[in-house]
Amino acid sequence: MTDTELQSLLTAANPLPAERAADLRLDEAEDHLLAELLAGRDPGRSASRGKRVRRRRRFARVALPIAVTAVVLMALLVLRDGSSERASGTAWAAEQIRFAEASPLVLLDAPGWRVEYADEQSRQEGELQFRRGPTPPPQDMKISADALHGPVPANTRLATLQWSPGGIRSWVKDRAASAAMTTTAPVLGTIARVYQYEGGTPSHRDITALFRYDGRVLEFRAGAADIEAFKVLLARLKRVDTDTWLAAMPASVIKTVDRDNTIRQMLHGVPVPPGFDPNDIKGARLTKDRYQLGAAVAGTVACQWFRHWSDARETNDRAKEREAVTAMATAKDWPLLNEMEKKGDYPDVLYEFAAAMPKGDWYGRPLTGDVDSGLGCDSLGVELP
Amino acid sequence: MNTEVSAERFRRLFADTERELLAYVLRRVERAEDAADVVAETFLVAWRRMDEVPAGDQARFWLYGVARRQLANQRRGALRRSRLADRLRVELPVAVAGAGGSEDHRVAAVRAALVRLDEGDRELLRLSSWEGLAPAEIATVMGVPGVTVRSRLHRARKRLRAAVLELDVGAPANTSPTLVTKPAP
Repeated sequence: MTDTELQSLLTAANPLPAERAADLRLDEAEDHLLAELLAGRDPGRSASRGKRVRRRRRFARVALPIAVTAVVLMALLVLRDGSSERASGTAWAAEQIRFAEASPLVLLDAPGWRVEYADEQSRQEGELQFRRGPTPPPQDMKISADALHGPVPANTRLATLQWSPGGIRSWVKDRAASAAMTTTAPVLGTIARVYQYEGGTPSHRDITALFRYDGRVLEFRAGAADIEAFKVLLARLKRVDTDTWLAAMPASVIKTVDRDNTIRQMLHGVPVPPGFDPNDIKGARLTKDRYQLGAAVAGTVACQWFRHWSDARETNDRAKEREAVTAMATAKDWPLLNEMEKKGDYPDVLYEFAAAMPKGDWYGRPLTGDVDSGLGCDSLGVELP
Repeated sequence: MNTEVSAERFRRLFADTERELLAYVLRRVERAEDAADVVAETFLVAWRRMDEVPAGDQARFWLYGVARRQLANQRRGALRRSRLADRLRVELPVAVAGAGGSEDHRVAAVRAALVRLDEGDRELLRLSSWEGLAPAEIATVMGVPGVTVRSRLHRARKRLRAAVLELDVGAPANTSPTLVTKPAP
């Protein structure tokens, strides 16, 4: 047995490889541990009776101020949510506050930059897009990774900040695999790994930074002339308070108070399947950009029609099958999708699946499998076979 | 150190190292839930002694060293259940269910051979191969002079090879490897 073989077997004998450890779903338990440590320092152990009593008293001393703080905070939330117009004229609903507080509360504090787009994909994942300069005409700003980070006009710059739970290792591995240049840079009191991707132009390099902050993984990606220019921008990321963060949100972010009405408007001219309930649109309660909310609405309707269609085919119910095909054949006329066409590719994907419905397969594969991944039916809470 | 500065530094330290440290502990305990107490106690020590935690990467190795002592306490039964870790203790067995290394019989033989080594050799090999630490870093964690780690590593590998060859690598190993997936009683 050679040294290399032995080393390889020893590595394989690791009962918990680093990648697997990085993916363990323990974020909330870890956040809880951190909060307990910070709040109580030592709230006590399951020890002998005497020690337990003594420590419980010490815990009570710490817990009481926390409880009082919680009551005051709740009162503030009720006031904000229920009545008061704030000095700025903006009433933050509890859900917006929750969104803000579920985010890392980080903004790009650099001259000329603004938040252009915000999306919360789940309670633990979200994205902000920042822009400097004028917003290009709609046909130039389709929402896709390439469009966001490919070369852009000289008078405008884009940057995105994404946050997600879990470990950083799988991210690092993925980014490092495509990087032409790697370095580190300070950000928010920690050190980020910075990757410059291959390609670009002399004035526009696609550069990204990964770092852990506040118990989650953050990625800041921007086009910049070089890594030094990127580092300058990266250093302008700043933690802010909830009010400042919310005040920076663009008008396109759907406010909670407007959401039900917005969804109702979006469903105008859209045939919905039997039993459809707008309250079942998964993710609609999360704060959404109008485009993202539109995708959740159109996607839920379409996925439910595909479910209806699939059930009908299974039971040989021709009338039910026709009902679904007829409804989806109107997709190109849905005002919601027509509006979304200007900003992204989601409608095009949906049209293609709708067109494939009469035939029933997708390039020789069962259609529903590709619909599920293409439209995100599973994440919208619609199960397809 | 100012309390706020200390808290912010601790928060960063926790964010940057906790998962890695948890993995380190999980690789060394019999039951996954035991890792919760070791990790909680380790960070409790760090939180109480933030002024002593070295800066930069050295903080990570300092934490490994603390965790190593807490693991020793845990094995002696001297580590009591910490309420800090209540939630982590409950969620760990579920989270790691299904985790585990290769079922290859040669790998099983290496695991069995590791168990035959003395604790010092075993820990040197694990720190090097599983935690990916360099000799100087291992020296910090184990509290031994840096110059001795390389030679001790060399000898530990030699003893491991001998132990593997002593076992019948064609047959399934008869010694259980360290488990991280055993359910809570």
